[in-house]
Amino acid sequence: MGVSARRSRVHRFTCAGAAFAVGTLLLATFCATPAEAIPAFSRELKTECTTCHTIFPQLNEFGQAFEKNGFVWPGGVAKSKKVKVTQTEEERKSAEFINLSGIPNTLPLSASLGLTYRYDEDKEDNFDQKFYSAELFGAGTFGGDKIGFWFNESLGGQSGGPTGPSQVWFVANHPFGVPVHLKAGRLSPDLSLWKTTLNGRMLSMGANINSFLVTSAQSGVEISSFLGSRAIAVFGVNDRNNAVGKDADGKDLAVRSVNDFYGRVGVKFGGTDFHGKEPDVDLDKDSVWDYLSISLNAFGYSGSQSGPDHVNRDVTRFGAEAEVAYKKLLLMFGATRGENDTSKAAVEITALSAEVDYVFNPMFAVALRYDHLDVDGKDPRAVVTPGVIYAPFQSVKFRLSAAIDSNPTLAATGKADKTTTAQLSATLSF
Amino acid sequence: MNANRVRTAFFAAAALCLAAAPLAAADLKTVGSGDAMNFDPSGFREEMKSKFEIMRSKCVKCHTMERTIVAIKTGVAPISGQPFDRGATKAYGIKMLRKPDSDMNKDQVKAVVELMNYLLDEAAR
Repeated sequence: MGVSARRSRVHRFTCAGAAFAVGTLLLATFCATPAEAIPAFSRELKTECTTCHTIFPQLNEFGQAFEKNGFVWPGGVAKSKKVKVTQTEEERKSAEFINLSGIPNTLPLSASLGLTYRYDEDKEDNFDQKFYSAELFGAGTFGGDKIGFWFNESLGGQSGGPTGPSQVWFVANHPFGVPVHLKAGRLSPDLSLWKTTLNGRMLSMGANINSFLVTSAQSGVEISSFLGSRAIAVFGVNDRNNAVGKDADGKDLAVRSVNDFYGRVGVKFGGTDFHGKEPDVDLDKDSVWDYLSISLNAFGYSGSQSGPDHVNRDVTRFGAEAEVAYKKLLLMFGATRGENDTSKAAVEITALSAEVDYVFNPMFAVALRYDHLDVDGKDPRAVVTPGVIYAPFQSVKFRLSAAIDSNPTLAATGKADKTTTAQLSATLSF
Repeated sequence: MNANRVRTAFFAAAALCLAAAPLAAADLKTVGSGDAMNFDPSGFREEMKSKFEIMRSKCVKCHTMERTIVAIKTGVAPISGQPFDRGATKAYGIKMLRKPDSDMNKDQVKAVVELMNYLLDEAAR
């Protein structure tokens, strides 16, 4: 590419970025109204989205405790009490059949619609890349909080739309009085401090390795338990259906079911504990722990994955994560080390990620992220991702971000080894 | 003679109690309804009135005052269903102190916690 052409593209990119920013700010100006919460938990529990989220879907400390307790409000108060207080006597009587039936008070369904416009400096038609997505999800509890459930399913959309892996699972909360949460179904392994491992995105970029991702949803069983109020242990087994090779005629052999094993241990210092209890802050004395919390996590995954030759080969992942939260600042670090057996030699993978978020208020946040992927120590790939998030309502979010991707392996194929993409996405949940 | 004095003192004390009772209940009067519901601070102790100004300006930033009024009058937090007592007022105060968008400092949180404790006492009278 010539220098002038490059400059022209840079100029166009700068103008486009500025236009997006101005557009977003204009939306910010005209859409600012009082926050309204709508999705399933908000309706069921009659509380606003920010009870559990900073800007959705990112969970705050209380939201993390709510999720880890199988969607039960930390504190363990029976649902019937809530109904008595928030409803009139007449409403309470009409709701009694719901309580006796042990079903949620409201239909526990929500939907999320997404629209993404993407700019790619290396595409001929830079701006003509639109992605849409629609996702249905439901979650809640049955039987007076004894059983929680979750499902999400894409209702359609285009590749590149922001939907997660389809999941359907149930969680038994303290079954038979045993203080554990037992989850079963098609689930994404709980290996991370966050909804997904910080390195997940980077590892998925290593498509040349294989499509294996520890967080992809599989049929499995998972058990988790709090160790005291500030530590958690999770162990799971999932069942992957993997091909085992071809016969002499080149036909696939019968698909064999293979079990993978995984686990994690997490610990939290400061902040709200896993039972949703606030730290004991002295209102007469200042301490750094008034606002500081540090979470640490270590995970491991051992399993197998069939490659392009349909042969099962071992896959291992080990990782560590850390989160530091102080007032409006959030720092996240993640490192994953893994090994994939191949038909030739084992491939070693290292992914490192760091992200800093600053939440100015429930409507506006900025984020900067750095990802690094190293496969067998050759030509490491690095991606820098700055982003701005604006949520005019608690259930509507706009995100403007860019990705500056340095990938030396592309140089060998004659492509530019450094690419810049930008995207503006809008998500609406209700 | 003595019996008459005792009787007179008894009736005087009873009349005083009867007169004072409605005043105490009137301390926790509210005005408006729904989203506009608020405490009527006219019957508050003098030092609580300045604390109410903090509550009035800070707490309604994220939720209605009705939520606080229901909690104080019933002794049960309306969303969680958990008891709303002196332990809970401090826990909620700390929760709001640590909430990134509350913009409340420790002195302000302490003042609001003291006010809620005072209101709980008044509601219990």
